[in-house]
Amino acid sequence: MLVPAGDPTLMPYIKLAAGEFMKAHPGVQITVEPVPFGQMVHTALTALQNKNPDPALIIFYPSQASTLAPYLMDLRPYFNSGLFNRSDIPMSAMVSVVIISKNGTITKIFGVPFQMVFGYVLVYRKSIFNNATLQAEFKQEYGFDLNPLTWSSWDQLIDAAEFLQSQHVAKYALLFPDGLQQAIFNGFITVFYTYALNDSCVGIPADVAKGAVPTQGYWAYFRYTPSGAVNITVGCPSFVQALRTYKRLVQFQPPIDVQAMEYDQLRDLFLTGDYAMVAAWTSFIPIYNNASVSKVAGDIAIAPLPGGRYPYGTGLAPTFIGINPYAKNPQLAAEFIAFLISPQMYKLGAEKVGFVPATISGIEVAAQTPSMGWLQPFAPLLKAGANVTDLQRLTLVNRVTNFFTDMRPYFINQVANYLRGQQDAETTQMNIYKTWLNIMKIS
Amino acid sequence: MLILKDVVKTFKGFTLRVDYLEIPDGHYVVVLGPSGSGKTTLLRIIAGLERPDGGSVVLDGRDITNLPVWERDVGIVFQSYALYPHLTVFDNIAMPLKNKRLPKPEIKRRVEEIAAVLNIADQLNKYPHQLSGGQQQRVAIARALVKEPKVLLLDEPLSNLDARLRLEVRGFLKELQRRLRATVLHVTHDQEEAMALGDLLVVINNGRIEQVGPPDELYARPKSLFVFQFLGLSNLVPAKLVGLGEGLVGFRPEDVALGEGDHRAKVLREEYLGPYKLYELDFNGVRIKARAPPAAAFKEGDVVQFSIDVKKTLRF
Amino acid sequence: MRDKQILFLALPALIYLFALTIYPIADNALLSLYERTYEGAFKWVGLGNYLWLFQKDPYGPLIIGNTILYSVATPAISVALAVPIALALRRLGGKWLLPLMVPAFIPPVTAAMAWYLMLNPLYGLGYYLMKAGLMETNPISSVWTVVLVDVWRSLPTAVLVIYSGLRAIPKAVEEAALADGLAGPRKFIAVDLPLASPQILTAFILTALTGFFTFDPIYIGTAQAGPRILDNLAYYSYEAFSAGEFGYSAALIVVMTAIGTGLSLAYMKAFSARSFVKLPAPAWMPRREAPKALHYAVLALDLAFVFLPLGWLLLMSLKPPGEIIQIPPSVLPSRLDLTNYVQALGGGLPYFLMSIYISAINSVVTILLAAMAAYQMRVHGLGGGKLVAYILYLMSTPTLVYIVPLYLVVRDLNILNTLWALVLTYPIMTLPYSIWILYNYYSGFDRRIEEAALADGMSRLKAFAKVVIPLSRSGMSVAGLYAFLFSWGALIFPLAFTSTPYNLADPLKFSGAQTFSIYIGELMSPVAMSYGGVAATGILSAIPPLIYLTAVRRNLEKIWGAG
Repeated sequence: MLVPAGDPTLMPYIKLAAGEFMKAHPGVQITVEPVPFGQMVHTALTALQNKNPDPALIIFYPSQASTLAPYLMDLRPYFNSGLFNRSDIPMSAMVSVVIISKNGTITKIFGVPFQMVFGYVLVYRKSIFNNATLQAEFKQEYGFDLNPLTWSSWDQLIDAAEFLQSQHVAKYALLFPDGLQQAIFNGFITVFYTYALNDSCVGIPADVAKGAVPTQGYWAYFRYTPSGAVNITVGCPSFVQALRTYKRLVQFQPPIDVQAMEYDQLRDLFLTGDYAMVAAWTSFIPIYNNASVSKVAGDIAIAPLPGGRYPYGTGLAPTFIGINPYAKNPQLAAEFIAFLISPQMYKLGAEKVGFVPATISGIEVAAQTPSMGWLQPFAPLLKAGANVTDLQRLTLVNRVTNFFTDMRPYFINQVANYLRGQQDAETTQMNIYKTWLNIMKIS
Repeated sequence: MLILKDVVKTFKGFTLRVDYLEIPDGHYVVVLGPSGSGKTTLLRIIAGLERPDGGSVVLDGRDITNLPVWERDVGIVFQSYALYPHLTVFDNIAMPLKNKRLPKPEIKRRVEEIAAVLNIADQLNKYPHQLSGGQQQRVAIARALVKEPKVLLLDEPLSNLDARLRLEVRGFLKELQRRLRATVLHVTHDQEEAMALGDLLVVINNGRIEQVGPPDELYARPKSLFVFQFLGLSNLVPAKLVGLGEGLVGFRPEDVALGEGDHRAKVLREEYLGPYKLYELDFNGVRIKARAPPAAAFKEGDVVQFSIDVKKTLRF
Repeated sequence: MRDKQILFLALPALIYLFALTIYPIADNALLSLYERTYEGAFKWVGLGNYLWLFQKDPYGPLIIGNTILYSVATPAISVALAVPIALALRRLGGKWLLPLMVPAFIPPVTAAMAWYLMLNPLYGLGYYLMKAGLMETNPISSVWTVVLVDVWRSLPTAVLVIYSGLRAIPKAVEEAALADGLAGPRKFIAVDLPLASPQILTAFILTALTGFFTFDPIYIGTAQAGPRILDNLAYYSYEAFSAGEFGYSAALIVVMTAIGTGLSLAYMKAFSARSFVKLPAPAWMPRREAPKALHYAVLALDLAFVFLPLGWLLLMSLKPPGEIIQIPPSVLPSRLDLTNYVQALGGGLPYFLMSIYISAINSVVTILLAAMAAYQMRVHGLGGGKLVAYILYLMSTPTLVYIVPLYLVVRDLNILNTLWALVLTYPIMTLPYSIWILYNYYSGFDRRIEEAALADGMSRLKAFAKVVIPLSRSGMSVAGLYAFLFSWGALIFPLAFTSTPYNLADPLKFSGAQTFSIYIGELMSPVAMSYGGVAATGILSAIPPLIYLTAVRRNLEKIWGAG
């Protein structure tokens, strides 16, 4: 099976599960093939297009889903037969791997989410936020608590950051993603989504608005017009609001021209202890707590973004697993997947390697583990948005074949220009709107 | 007049030493010596391509020992001609003049003039690779002469040519020198060429000048065994064998008369050369060469009598 | 009557090349007319991909512009710098050539990494440059940094070629120039530069190819500049391919190859021309030779340029892990820590071994096949100008076009993910370049040697093996060096044809064939968290090519001197 290298808990969990599975099924051999993230799709495609039976199982991320979609096996039979428990897997996590026909019926499901990463979440330094003097001063000056779990808006987060910056409690108050490979893209959507919830121009379905944002929220950029054509929501007022807030969020770190804060930087710079807060992926948490490299080990707490009271900046970034249609024994492969997402295996994974499950029961089980207590606020978030119904809307983005390949790069460069101060928000919005409309390819 | 005084140049294990050498104006001077004798070094010191370790080179009263090559008023024709491949014949010849900052019309005039003298006036627009070897050489000579140097240096100019062309060019060079009344220093290892061309011969061996003088003087009155053996054909026998006392006796093949005389030798080989025959004989264990008229009838293995013109012999 | 044995000797190389290249190239051209649909099928779009590139793609014109920029700016700067350096070498001695050549033999990914780490405004010297006010933005975000890294890598080749050109000027011509009153800068303009101009042009084209294909500096710089901003067509086509847009990728490759072939044909013209550039030498130009101190200064600057990034890389590899990302960055490690090397060697050993095997095997195979073909092409004119043109065309074709067709071949032969898959496919990368190097080399070869062997009664085959090959040693060692380097750093073929590392438990089966380049790539993935590890593997990856370079240093000059 093909496993992307990079996530510190993924490979250990897979190896653990593989070991257990092989124990339970003597005679079965599972070989794990690590592959660098950047070469993932390439390797998978080469095998799939050439009808190679190996690897039988392929692990992939949402941004790679549409590329692999045509070649992976349809897993609906296993859902229908109950091998995969449909009700335990939140639909909001499945959106990337579902193909819907024009009239709304599901025509293919080509992956199963088995790992959940929440992003972005707010990771903050307990020692700073638990300081009674600071708390008192902040409450007096701003009128609300210096406690992220109580916040309900970006303004409050920014206020806290301003306060902490002026107090010089750390070199920088807030580390927020503005990286040029993907962090701008998935950082911005975090902000946009929260404003979009109140913008009828974007029109977020009510049942979705209750829980964690499905697949980080990119689907919110598209909606159907009454005539059935596809329109983009970049032109909506909430987009410009979000741009302005985004700019304010990144002001507490070195400017983007000096160092863009991408995945690596979000992970590495927070370890130095120079930052009071960081917007991070939950997969960083074991690293932040690793005392041999981290100066902030044991000093971190986690809250959703922008705050515990309004957690809709935090989205779901599941990791999927799919089956190679030419595999020698697809049934066995499916059984392994079912094993992978079983509550027992998840419990073991949470205890041994700190793995975050993707099923509802799995998250609940993992949240009980002492070392994974931070998962507690996120479990209800996952449940609340589990049964989303407007699949048409949610999967519309899957039909935009060049979303990640052509539209994302343009977006990133435009927003980067805005952050650099080279153009204003309205121009940025107009450029993205016009170009996206011009180049998007809908299948 | 070119004078070299106390010139010394040492390389790895080899030293060139010239105590005094005078090259008179208007003469065709040939520096003759075997390979490795230092003749080319001598030329290069005069040219300025090498600096001597000691001594001086004086040209018409001016000490040029340490002057750069282009300030010496000396023209050089290299053995490989060394033409500029990227320039036309005209530009090749004109190069030394351009560097003297002469006005363009003047340059044109002088180039065309010298090209006419050397019979290459119709080649001026061609590139070196389009010319024959002989033509290339004449371009090289033109380039050396166009700046009207006081001395023209020729480095083995005939060595690259085939036998027929060699004779032609030999004549051409001498005529040119006469016509221009130039002072020419011609370096070669070929003694026949040297004797044919030179007004004055400078024989050099092992870094030392053996003898300087006109060819006839060196041929008839060589001051050293080396000069004797280097110029023309020679015979050297122990004096006892011919009854002339101690030491060695040298004589030329043409001073041997075959057929009658006090000595006897056995014929080993005969060579028919056209105007005369050359016999190689075994004279009491020593090989000697003798000339004979074309009609001579001695055969291999014959024992012949011969005599030597004692007046012409040399003692060493 | 055509001597069949001439053809026979060249046949293995030619069959290999034609069989494995013509179909993929034609197939790629055809593929460029299709688009992949959402369902995975191919839909005919005619010139649609090309129209998209030039009209709709927001970055199309920019990327084409970048391609041309890299292909022009890199050689222009490299050659401009190489001339004074070559002059300095001529004055100070060729022994300085070896250290100056080092950058050309560092794998490209290590080179890009070294500059990135050094200029990094948080972890590198860039921090101090910014503090001093010498730098305002992260320099890695500029196209000119890509050019800088490419110049760093290609400058040695330019210096070598131009230096050899200067040395090839006959000594007699130089002395004649002295006699004519040309010396110093005046002689340089009037004689040296014109006579070395064919080599200068050669150097220009060679360094242009480096810029044309540049990949790693773009990969690394994109993180700071933004997507697409630094891309050239080579990089863009690879990205399109990796995203599954095969038709578009194919179209980009067609455009790219067209541009590259244009460059190659320009080279061919320059190479076969006998004319030199003529320059006026105004009489006011000074005659005095530049002082030796100036030459030493030039040499010192070049040495600094060469070794600064490598030095930084070395320092970084020896730092304890925590120290590398501390701010402000330390220049010297607080103590020498070999953990990075231990990690790199421990994890990387199977990859390292596999790379050594394939590089060694492929170098030998390539130079033998190349020598056989190149000799017949040069000395006997086999194939004429058309074959040479095809070889040059292959040199500007990205290896990307071959992976899909070759994958099928490799799979059907059941050698996927084994050493043999690499042995079979690697020569495609290295054979054209080696043939071309040896083709140049044989221009100075005396055909009478072969004729003498034939007169002695040997067949052409025997003559070639017993006489020509031993005498071609210097050319073959240089061709071998480049073949070794290509093989050592190759990434695309191993990615396509291998999936697991070399299984050391069963070494003679040679199954599992991932190469060291893949290992480095893994370390550079977003979550690797080990700049130190990358630095250490970078240093390690430079060692085998450098050992080879030291072994063949004597032959380096000879290869170009013949021209």
